[in-house]
Amino acid sequence: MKKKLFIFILISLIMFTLAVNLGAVNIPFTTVWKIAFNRVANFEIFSESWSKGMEVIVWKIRFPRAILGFITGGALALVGVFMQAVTKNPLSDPYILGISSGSAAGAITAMFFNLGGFSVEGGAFLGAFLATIIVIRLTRGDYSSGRLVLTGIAVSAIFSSLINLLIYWVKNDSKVRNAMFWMTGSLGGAQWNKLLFAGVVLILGVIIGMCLCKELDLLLLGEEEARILGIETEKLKLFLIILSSLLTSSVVALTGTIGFVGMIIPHMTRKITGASHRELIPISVIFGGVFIMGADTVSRIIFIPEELPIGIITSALGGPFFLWIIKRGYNFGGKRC
Amino acid sequence: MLEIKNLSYEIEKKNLIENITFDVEKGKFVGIVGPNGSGKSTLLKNVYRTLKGDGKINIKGRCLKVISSKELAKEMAVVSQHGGSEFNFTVCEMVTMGRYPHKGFLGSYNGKDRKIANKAIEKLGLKKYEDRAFLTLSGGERQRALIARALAQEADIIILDEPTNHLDIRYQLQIMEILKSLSVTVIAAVHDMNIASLYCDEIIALKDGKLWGKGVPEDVFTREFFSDVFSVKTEISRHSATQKLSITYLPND
Repeated sequence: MKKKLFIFILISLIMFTLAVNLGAVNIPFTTVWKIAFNRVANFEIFSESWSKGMEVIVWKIRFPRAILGFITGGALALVGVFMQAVTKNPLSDPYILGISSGSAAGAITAMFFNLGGFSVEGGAFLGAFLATIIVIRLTRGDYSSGRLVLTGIAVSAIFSSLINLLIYWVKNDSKVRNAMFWMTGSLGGAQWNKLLFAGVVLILGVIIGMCLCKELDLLLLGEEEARILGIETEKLKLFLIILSSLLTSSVVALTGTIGFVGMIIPHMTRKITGASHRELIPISVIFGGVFIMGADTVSRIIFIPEELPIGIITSALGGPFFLWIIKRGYNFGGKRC
Repeated sequence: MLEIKNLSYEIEKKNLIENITFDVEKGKFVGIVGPNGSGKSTLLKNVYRTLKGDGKINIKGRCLKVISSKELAKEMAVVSQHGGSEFNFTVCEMVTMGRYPHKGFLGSYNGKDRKIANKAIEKLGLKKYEDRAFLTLSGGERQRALIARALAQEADIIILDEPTNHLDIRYQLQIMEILKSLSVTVIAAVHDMNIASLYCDEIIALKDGKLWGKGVPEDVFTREFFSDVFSVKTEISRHSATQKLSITYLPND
């Protein structure tokens, strides 16, 4: 476990450096970290051999963006892990279940009706919570894949139409552009002062997830089994739903909807860790973070100077992956059943 | 140990079990018998609280309704008819989960839990499957793993819903032997009447959701019982080696 964790932390540091290093302007690795150390220490440890512009790019733009990428990927992967345990279905993902759409619709509603700065997050949370509850209620405890995915499509469609309706109504250019950003997803809006909330939510989510790893394992056995082994399943599920809504909304409010991460990452991580959540949670979160940092970096450099919306990259990878899982039969890691 | 009083359970106005009353004494091996659809599973599900019917169930003098899930899991281990589907834990992980009710909120499974789990694994002859994924096991091996988990739970009551369903005769007997050797109370739905008479201290017989009779196997297993409840002709004798009842089914003509 420690070895795996160490390797993944190392990979994420390398990916992070690459994410800051690559772009329209390439910045040497050493400079990246020299600037960071100087800024963190608030003191000139390394003498400044770079331009002011370079420092702005590294510290004001790319650093927060890479960190936001990590938080987003980590949070979405964690939500995937939670929702998969709640529904006992490995296809569950905030995007497929429509939770991301609900969250985006909530955020856009809050923004269009000018409910103030923080309410965008609040709206995102309410939207996510509402969407999750609708999905859980409509599936009525039957979390078979067909029913789950179809319900997710329907919920997603309803919230997308709501978003479109709002965009049609408002016709205010800058707001519409903002709304479009929520539809396709982007890390472009990353700023230091916006990272704190999402970062804290992710850290709390990981801590709580680690505390609940025994319970999450038992949930995978099915509700009846979990109950006879001593779990109050209804309470636990409600708690996980609220936590997942909070996690989803904290990143959707900043990045918009980015799909499939929550499904792909836990699935691939289980190949390394097995189904047990004690390893699955930390490694999924790091893996998710690396994945989004990587996808964002690709989206920035593939058509320099144009920037591709990151949702295109994740969906281009996620869609085929989704089909592949459906084709080969899905399970919680290990051998096919 | 366990008192069941006037227990009924209905679904869509149809009584699946009706007015069932019996007590289970500490350390007894109780077999629930009856034809398919006679309410054996419904009765057991009410006891382990997956279904909530009318009537009263007391466990060690306390009403079942007020006990928390975790407390109940410490008193009562359950091996149900179907366990798990798409997860992929190893046998060792599965059995260790039986220790869950004994752990606090933040406690993780420690050396003592592993030791208890290991003992259960060995007892059920699963040592060589320990690191195998649960899903790759055969039906019988899975059933044994689930029983090992129930043992690891160290509860005073073990409830089994047709525990030997998927097992060949060797393991059927072995599991009954193991259950019998434990100083716990066992309540099991049993299909094989010869096995029931060999191992059960007491029989609860159900027909159409009602209690047909109860008592030691010698009292319940009569020719009249088999013709009335199962509509089969039998010849019942006492076996010279086991001194238990031996039931032979006779063709109908």
